[in-house]
Amino acid sequence: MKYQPVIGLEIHVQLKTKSKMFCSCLADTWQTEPNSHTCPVCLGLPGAIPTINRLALEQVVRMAQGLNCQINVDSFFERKNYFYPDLPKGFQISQHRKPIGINGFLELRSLDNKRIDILDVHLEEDTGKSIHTSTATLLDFNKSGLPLMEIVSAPEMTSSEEALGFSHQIYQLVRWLEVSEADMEKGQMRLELNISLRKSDTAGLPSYKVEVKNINSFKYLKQAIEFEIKRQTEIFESGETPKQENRGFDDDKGVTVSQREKEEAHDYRYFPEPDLPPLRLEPKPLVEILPEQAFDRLLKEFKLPMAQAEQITREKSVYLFFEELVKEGMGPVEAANIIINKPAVLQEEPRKIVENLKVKSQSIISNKGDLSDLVQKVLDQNPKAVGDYKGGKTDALKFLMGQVMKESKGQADPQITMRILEEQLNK
Amino acid sequence: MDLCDLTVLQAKERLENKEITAYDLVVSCLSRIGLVEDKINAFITLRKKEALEEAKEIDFRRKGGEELGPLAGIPYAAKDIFCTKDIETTAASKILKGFIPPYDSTVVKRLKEAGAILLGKTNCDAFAHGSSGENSDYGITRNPYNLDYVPGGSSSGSGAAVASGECLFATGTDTGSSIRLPASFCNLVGLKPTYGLVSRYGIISMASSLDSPGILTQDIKDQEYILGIIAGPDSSDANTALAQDKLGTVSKAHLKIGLPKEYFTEGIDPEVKEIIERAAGFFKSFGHEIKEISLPHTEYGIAAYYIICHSEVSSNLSRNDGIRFPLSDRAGNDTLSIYLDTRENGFGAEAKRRIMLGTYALSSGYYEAYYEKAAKVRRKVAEDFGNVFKEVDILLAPNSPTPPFKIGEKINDPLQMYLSDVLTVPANLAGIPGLSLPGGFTGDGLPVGLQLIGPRFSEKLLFEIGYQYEKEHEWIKKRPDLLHL
Amino acid sequence: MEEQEVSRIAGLARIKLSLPEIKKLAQELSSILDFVKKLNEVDTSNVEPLFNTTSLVDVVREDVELKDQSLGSKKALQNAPEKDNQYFKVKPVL
Repeated sequence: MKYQPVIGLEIHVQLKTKSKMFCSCLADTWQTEPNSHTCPVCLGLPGAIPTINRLALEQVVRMAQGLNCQINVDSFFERKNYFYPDLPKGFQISQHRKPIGINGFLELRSLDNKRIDILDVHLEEDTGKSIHTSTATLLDFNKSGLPLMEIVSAPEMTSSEEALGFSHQIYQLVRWLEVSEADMEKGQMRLELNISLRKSDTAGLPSYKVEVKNINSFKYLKQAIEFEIKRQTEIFESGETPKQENRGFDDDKGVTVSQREKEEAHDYRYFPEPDLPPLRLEPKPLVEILPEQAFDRLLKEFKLPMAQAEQITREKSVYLFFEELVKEGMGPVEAANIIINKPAVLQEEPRKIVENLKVKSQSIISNKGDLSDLVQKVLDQNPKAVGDYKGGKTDALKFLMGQVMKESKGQADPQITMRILEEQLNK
Repeated sequence: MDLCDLTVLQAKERLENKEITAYDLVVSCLSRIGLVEDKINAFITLRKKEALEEAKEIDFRRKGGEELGPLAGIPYAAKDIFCTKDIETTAASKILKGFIPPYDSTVVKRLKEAGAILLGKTNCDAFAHGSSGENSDYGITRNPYNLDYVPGGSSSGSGAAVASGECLFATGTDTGSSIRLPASFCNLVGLKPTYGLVSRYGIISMASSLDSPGILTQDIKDQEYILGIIAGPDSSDANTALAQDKLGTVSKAHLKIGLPKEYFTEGIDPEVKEIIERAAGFFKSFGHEIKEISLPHTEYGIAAYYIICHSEVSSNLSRNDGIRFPLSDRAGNDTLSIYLDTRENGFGAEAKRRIMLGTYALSSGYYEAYYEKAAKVRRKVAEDFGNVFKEVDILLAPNSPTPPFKIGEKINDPLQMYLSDVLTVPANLAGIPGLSLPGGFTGDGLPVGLQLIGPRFSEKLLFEIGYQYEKEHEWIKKRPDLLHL
Repeated sequence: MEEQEVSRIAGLARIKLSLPEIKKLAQELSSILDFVKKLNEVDTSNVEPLFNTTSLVDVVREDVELKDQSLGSKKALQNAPEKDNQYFKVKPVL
């Protein structure tokens, strides 16, 4: 390709907490009455001041650690000042100069472990919800103040595969660490794309950057990237350079659309939040196993194929289930197979599953000789059924099969038995 | 003596001895309000009916032998930047006209729980921006000692109300001078507490890292008593986490009192200088040592203060957007016009000036040169105090280089107005307490207060020394002559 | 301060100013900024800025929902100049 995409992602994740980031209102907006979970703090009423949610802080520290970041122990909050109706204070409490995590990275397991740097992982509050109609904008502040984690990647991705790989791994990691459900339909994880193109034989960042905001599914991310690559390539081919701008994504049409150009560059006038003393973080080493560690173990120790390892490590609960089965004595290959082919098994207890299998395998009669004798005995005892079968009634086979099972008290191996039966009947 | 001229502790004693009723007290205050209020304009909102009802209720409960709070029946007023539940709170600005907070500020809540009776909301400089009481959108407040003069600001209404006996105490806030100047100009006691001692939750923020809520009272014992009720940690204000039992202790009888030489430069009015020098002499005769000390960064304090203050103000006022408060200009056809029109109509000239300067000082390319630089100078100012408090225990100084000035004298020159805070802002920058107490009068009969400054959480020490002075002087008895206003 | 700069700042702060106001503010702000230049006389080369005088660090709150601190939509909307059902209503954001 003549042009190489230069892609960065900013991912916002709503953290899984009971209360909001800076007040004790309920942190849940799913099907709530508008403005029913608000207080002076998250409404930005005069006089109201914030207090920090300890759990949200811990969750972001753990995530930053999971992303191999350096933790700024003396991190602090800052005010990001701008005006928008769903931002009640006229500023968002966020981080800027000393975010919680910096200089991290993620290795894309599906792409040869290509490393994508992570510039910053920080904590901030969410804005309210705006509903736009042609005659008005309606505001619901239930969402205002929810704790948000923002993960900013370096612009090092060069394809939609890489961008999707990155997003999937972030999704997986936030769920593994239990810092978020990341349900994208509920808006709990939102993707923002930064994309430009450069000539394939050049290095360095392009002179412009297109931001596409509020992409809320992996499918839309792929569409947005592909659309932008095409759109920007066409502009280059015509001898121009694409404009630096913000674009929105139109879900229905699968295209990005230009939003009203902002005349002024953003001047957020960041300064340290005076209502909150600075932090003093004490990150403890992560005790939980991370997806990449689990993946590695499945690959290297248990020698499972990559596709299986990927599938099993998609959800932490599934991986832990696998480990339980193995602990109970099941072979890893079998454990992998049973999980992948019979997912219903995940509802049962690992110990019981292993026990049942043992019982089954111990009591199965699979000796051909023994089974032939059994079959012969049944055929002798049921001449009418034999006659029916030979006359074309296939139901009779089922009946005879059932009789063999009854005779063997359910211990005849069904597959082998069936073969022998057919052999004998067709003699 | 009218009941409304009693101190809080005097009134409390008489209430408990059943010599007077809370109803009597409130009636007396309302009567005084009727006499002087249209001349001094200390109040924006009065709740006469409700106050009388509450007084009746308290009297009834006291009669029934019920255990009542420590301020039960005491009438007070709250500066109109303290949110009061279901009572209009305007910050003396047009832009918040009609705003009815759905919640109480913590200070008001604690006073309510103590049984104090809120008579009304006092006037102030709009959003606390000012040192004179001339910046209100609800009229100028006048000094009860002389109506041609300012009462000092920004807690102008609170100062004038207590000085004239309209209430027995009032709440205020001090960001750069706003409790100490009205106390000094109105012959009252006003403490700017240690930053973080009293909760700011529910108080309309001016400059978040500088605002210190407090009270204005007639004397020191009242001040100490009420501070004990409103101070202390509040889970809603992260900066109060250290405030437990933190009024300090007094460990020795004879102190070293420092006189900052930079506070007595040419700009100081000779009458003010004389009052402070006489006070120094008094303390010396009382057994304390007086020592000249230096606060070398004093001249930079005001510049640092104004950058920090205005920057924080510009951010704090962004929430006044015409979207969630009654005053809203909706003539235009988009949201941007709501912002622009509402803020144009609702903010006064001083608020606009501060927002503009603050926005500039924080803007891209200027943050290091202004806000951050000012914060570094702030550390130097704080270090100056840290250094002198190794040599002396407290400082004695004036509150203002001049006595109360005439209404209109400084209002047209913002820089001049800013300079009147030069002796008070350093304490705000450093987060340390400053106590203003009556120190005497000028030849024209205008009050001049002394300022005692101590290290963080040294309130008890300041009260002790202040009381030594107060006890031996008659200034607090010299109330304004209200019959000849 | 230049008048153009005043206009830019006013835009950032959502303050509408008339031409005479711009002129006046340019003068006032210029004189205040001149005064503030004084700060450059102080050597702050190795000085950490002081933002919070409490010396507190790490003040946090437990993650608990406190129902009694929530206002409910009626109280939340009580000062709204325009409402629509339980929403705050504003003009369209163009």
